[in-house]
Amino acid sequence: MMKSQSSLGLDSVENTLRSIVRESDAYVIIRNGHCDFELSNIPDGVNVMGESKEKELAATILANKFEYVAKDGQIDGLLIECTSSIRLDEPLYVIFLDNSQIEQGRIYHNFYLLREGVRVNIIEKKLSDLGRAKKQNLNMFSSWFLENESALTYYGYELPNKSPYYSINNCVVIRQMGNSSCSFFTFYWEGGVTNNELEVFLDGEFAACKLYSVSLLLNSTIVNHKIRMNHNFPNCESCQLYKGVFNDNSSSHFDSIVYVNKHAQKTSSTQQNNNIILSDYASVKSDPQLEIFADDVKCAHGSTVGQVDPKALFYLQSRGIGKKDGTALLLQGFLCDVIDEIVDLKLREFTLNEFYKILSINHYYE
Amino acid sequence: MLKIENLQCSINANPVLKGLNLSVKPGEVHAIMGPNGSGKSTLASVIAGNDNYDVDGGDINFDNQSILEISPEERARMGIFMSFQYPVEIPGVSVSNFIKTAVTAMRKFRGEKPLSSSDLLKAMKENMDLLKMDSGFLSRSMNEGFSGGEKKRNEIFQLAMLNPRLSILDETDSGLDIDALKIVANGVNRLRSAENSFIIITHYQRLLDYISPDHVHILSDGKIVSSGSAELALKLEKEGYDEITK
Repeated sequence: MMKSQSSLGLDSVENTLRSIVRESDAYVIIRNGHCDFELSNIPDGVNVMGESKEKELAATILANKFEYVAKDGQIDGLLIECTSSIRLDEPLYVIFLDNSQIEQGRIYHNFYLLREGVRVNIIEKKLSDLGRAKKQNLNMFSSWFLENESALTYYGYELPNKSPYYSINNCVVIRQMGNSSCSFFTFYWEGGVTNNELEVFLDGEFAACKLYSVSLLLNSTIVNHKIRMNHNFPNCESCQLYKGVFNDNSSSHFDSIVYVNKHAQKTSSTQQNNNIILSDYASVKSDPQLEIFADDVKCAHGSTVGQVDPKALFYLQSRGIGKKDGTALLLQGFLCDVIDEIVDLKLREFTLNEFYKILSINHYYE
Repeated sequence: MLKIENLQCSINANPVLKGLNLSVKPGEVHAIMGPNGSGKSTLASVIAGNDNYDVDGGDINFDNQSILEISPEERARMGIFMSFQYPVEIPGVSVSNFIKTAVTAMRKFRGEKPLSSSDLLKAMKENMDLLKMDSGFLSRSMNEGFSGGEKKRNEIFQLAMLNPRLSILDETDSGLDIDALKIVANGVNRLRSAENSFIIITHYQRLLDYISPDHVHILSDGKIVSSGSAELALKLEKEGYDEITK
């Protein structure tokens, strides 16, 4: 079982790294924006480009696949290419390690390219060994290109970061070609301000994209989601399931649009945002939106904001389960439809353990 | 064991119980019958500690200790169990997880170590056999999508797992067909002992054909208006509430 750190000292970063090295044969370690080839263990079928020698090749691929990249041969990020020869039974870890002393405006740009027919599980973790008093502002851009028939399962963990000065802007663009599929999981615990902008382009028939997210927020943590799901081709499928539990003064804004182009007939889409608020001072704003220009589509959307069901809690109490444990059990039940979608058993257990830790160290009741 | 004295309760300032007295000794089975709205379910809920009801007067003693100020979970740990008339659906929490959490909480209160997974599973299997439940039950979400009969059986299953000293069955027979009723009654009878007591709340005499009570009480308009032996229930069935509560 992987251990995650409870504080953010250097030791804990090392421990986390060590446990990943132990658990997995495949990891890319990105230190302050550059791939650390010595620390990394890059498997066959994965090319990490962007440093010196492959720079030119990377620029060509990027200009070809990621239209908005400047075509002057200069790139300011890494290209991680998964080629068709890839045979990964274990997930590929991508670890972002940040121990730079730059306080403002750090920018990472990562391009992921999944070649035709490639199936890969990628786990991203962000580790920082900065002290909690340090201000830190990260801008992360990730661009994903999924060629025909490729399949991505992505898990992104924002590890607990107690610093209220931590702020991160995640900008993610996913472009999917025909018959590709993408399951994109993101988990948010506590610490600072996170602004997520996520745009998906379903640019080939029968592409499927599923976005899952859980936020378990404490203190004055803010996690905002701005999402645009573009159905540009017929017969595509998309799903959004965003769940949140908010305590203390935490807050969140879910602002999501599903756009269905007039050519995108037979679109099937769901968009769901469910929230439980545990404190009088927490707040949630939820705007699920649909923009539909085709006439033969199936689109559902909904959102809820509520509290722990007092009847269910009494039921648990009447069986000898205290308020705190009972609330944790109910919240776990509330989050389980996302958890159940995590196919990798080890990862499911890891995620559940993180939940338990957060639920058990805090007083989720008045 | 349980002694209720002059209990007065209200919900949203509407009085429901208006001076109720009841005494239950170890090993006894009491049936409480009465028309709709007489306060039967309120009595069960108040003993279990549901704070939707306001206690306006009187006292409830369990083991010679007033429990009015005690939380529902502590009452449960002292050995009080209520089988819900409408068991709550809890999506995402499996029956086995629920039972495990409850059993562990009870054992912790008694200073005992948690049961090993295999011992717990064994105990669950035994009780499921007793109630003729199939093993797929354990992995289902608590009461979610259960039929009325399954929900009631699940209540008795919890009762069997927690082995309380005082069990209150709030209309456990409603919504059960005759076969399910027999299974549930059989389960309850197996759990009867010289130490364990039951309060059975019911509309009909039917359940009492299978679980024979030591005492029968008739509740009307928030008070017990008549008490007697098992024959009282038969008389009630024949003559109706109107005759007896007159």
